[in-house]
Amino acid sequence: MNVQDRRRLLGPANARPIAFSAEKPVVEEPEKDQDKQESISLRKGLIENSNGSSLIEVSSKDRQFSLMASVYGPRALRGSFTSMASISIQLQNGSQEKYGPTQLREVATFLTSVFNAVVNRSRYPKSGIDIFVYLTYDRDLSQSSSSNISALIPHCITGITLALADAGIEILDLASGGYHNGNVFSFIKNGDEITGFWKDEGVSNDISDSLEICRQSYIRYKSLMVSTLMQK
Amino acid sequence: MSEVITVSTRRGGFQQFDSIADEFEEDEDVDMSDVDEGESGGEKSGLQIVTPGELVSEDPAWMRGHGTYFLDNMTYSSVAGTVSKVNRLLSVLPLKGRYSPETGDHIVGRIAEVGNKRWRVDIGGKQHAVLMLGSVNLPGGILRRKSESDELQMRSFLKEGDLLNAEVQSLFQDGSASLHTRSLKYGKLRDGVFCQVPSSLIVRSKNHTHNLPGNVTVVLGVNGYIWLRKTSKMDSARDAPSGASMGSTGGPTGAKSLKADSVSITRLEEESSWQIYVDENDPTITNSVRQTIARYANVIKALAYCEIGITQERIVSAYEASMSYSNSGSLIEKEAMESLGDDVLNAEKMRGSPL
Amino acid sequence: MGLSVTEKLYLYDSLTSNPVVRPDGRKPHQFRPIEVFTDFLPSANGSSRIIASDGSECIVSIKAKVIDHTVEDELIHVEIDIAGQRDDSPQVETMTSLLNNVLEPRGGIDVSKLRLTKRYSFKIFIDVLLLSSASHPVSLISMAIHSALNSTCLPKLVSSFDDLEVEELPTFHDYDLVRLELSAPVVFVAAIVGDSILMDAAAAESEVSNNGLIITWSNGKAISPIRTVALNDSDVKGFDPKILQKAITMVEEYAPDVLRALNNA
Repeated sequence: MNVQDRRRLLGPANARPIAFSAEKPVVEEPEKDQDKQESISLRKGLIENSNGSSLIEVSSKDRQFSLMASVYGPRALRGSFTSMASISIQLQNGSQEKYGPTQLREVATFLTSVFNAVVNRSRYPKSGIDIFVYLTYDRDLSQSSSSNISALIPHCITGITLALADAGIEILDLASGGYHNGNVFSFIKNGDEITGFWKDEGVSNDISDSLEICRQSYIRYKSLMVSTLMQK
Repeated sequence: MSEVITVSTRRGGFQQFDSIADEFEEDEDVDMSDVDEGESGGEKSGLQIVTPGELVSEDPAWMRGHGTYFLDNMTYSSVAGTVSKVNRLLSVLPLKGRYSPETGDHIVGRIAEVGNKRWRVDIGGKQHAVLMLGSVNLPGGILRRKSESDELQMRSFLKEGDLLNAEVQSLFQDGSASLHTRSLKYGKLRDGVFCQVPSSLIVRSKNHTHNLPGNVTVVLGVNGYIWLRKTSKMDSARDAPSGASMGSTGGPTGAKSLKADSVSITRLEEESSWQIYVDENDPTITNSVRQTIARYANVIKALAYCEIGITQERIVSAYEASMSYSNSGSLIEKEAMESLGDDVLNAEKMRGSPL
Repeated sequence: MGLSVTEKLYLYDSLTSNPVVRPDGRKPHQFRPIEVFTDFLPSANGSSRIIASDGSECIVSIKAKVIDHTVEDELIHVEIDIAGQRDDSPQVETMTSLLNNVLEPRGGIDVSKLRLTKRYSFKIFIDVLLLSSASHPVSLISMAIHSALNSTCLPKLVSSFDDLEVEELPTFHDYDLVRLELSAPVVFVAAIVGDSILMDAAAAESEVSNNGLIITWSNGKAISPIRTVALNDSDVKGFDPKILQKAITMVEEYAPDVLRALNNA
């Protein structure tokens, strides 16, 4: 029986439908931040058939959204020898279809370059790590026109980092970032190193002001991640 | 001219007929100098340039070599190049094209693939060359047999991307080359930079490794791949006019003992340790040596841009001429490259010796 | 192109030493020479072709169409084609998204010049064909777009400006053309190697760089989009926050020279 059905697009033979584990108690209590009124909840290990996953829910006074990151791998790569793991990141719209595919691709490319500097890739030769990020829910409460994807990037970074840690993949440090005035910074090593910078609006004068604010949010997200990871 | 960038412009991208005619004349000049270098060992009566499809000979007695084809008892050219007649063999040597290896060539190559008991090496030819595991010096000296563990750790000797110089040992039926590095002058390259020129500009000669002024050594691969490095102890020993060490060269692989440590250890044993495959550069490369290497690289690119055959004498002469530019970065401009090429050719005319 | 370990080490040491030694002897801010051809496509309103000294080459054509801007508000549209890559490959999509962002009206580009009447505008279609590139191509593409827009001439309007009352389409002069003076922002790529910042990194330099910065420049200052970009697949690392500001300052210092050379060519 080696007749293969080539007419349909089929998944792998051993594919299973997505399964959520029964309500794990690993729920990070929403943390209130007085000045920004932004509350975040982080969970890990939601998707059973992925190697690692995370869910982030953010609610601030002008935006509510949640995103889910799942990590598959490291798995063997076919073809020629590679001395380091290759990371592929895909961003997917939720049911709202809010962002254009080219924009999502650009952000995914950016995230890939961030995580190329974060994952200890030389430990995984000849392997691939696939990361999927679903922007499950995104609602703008402020009704302003600045409903852009930039503000989501720090949370994508946090989500992927948490999912990678959940998958047990070696990373150099917990990466996260911050968003302020259209500037996005991604940090590692206590904010001493930038792994990514993204700016889609405004002029360049305000970058140094944003740096410190973004570093503060990075430190906050990082401590949240640490406490999430410490829970069993 | 701006310090930051030069932008040149031309109206319309179409060549004019008179400019083509000009270039054609220049080409002929270059070819005439090739005759002096005795590149075509055929007829002395004059150099015949043919184009594809041109009738080369009506005489069916000729044996047809590369670059020709036979139709109705007549021989036509299939490439643009010069006609070469050796004994009864008629062939056309292409003016341009990929490097075609010949036994004994000293080449520089880059590992493209690690395979079963062999490496595939990119040498800029039609096919990758093959370097067999048995054709390299393994750590531990020449008398060591290769074992299965060597097969398993081939990537720890040479891996994808690594540069090496080697000699073409033999050619296969299909024209691809088999290499060997069983001599101390061959092996992994370090302490420098790589640059590439068309292989037709490198003239085959006895020696392809030259020590240049400024503590820099160049390896001119016949395939047009060039390696510029800081002169190592071994490089300077090779050039040293010492009677004692020259006489005591021992071993079939060209091993040479240094005067300083010729007590009982030969260079080969010392060099054939793991050190010959180590991925580290000499930590003592100074900033000025790096600048000199960058200048040599630019000088070589300028010679290639002017389509001047590259030899040690010309590199040195162009290097000296380039000293009029205090910043070697100015040599990336076309005008600078052209004037440098003119300087080299003029200097040769003045000396009256076209090499 | 893969480099050997020793080549990479040598390059990295040279590029991080003081003073910086680039493999072709350039200064850190020095660009390689480029050649520009403009206005050579007879069927387009404007065109340009840029050839870099490493053989990278890019062709841009500009076409215009009259649209009702009360219905459609996107006035500039960029489409990118990279030879040998599918239209939905990550590189093509990323580049398209980035350049559409560079030419967004809120950035450095003055779209009021495309306005014809109170109702109608020109919509500019920019088609980019990247024939070959050795290092990150966005700088070359944006320079080609800049010079193509500089060479663009559009038909001269003869009907009246105010057409809200009268329902009429704009009419144009039969053969008179007006030069479109639309100055497009230019994008620069700065390579970060250790603590050194290099403009216009060559392929080998990109191969050892720890990170890269895409910086858009228009009218004397750096504007958005600005972002980090990985210039290779193997040596991407984080960098000191101070470098970000230094790179932007460097672009602001030398971009005027580049623009002057580009506009005078």
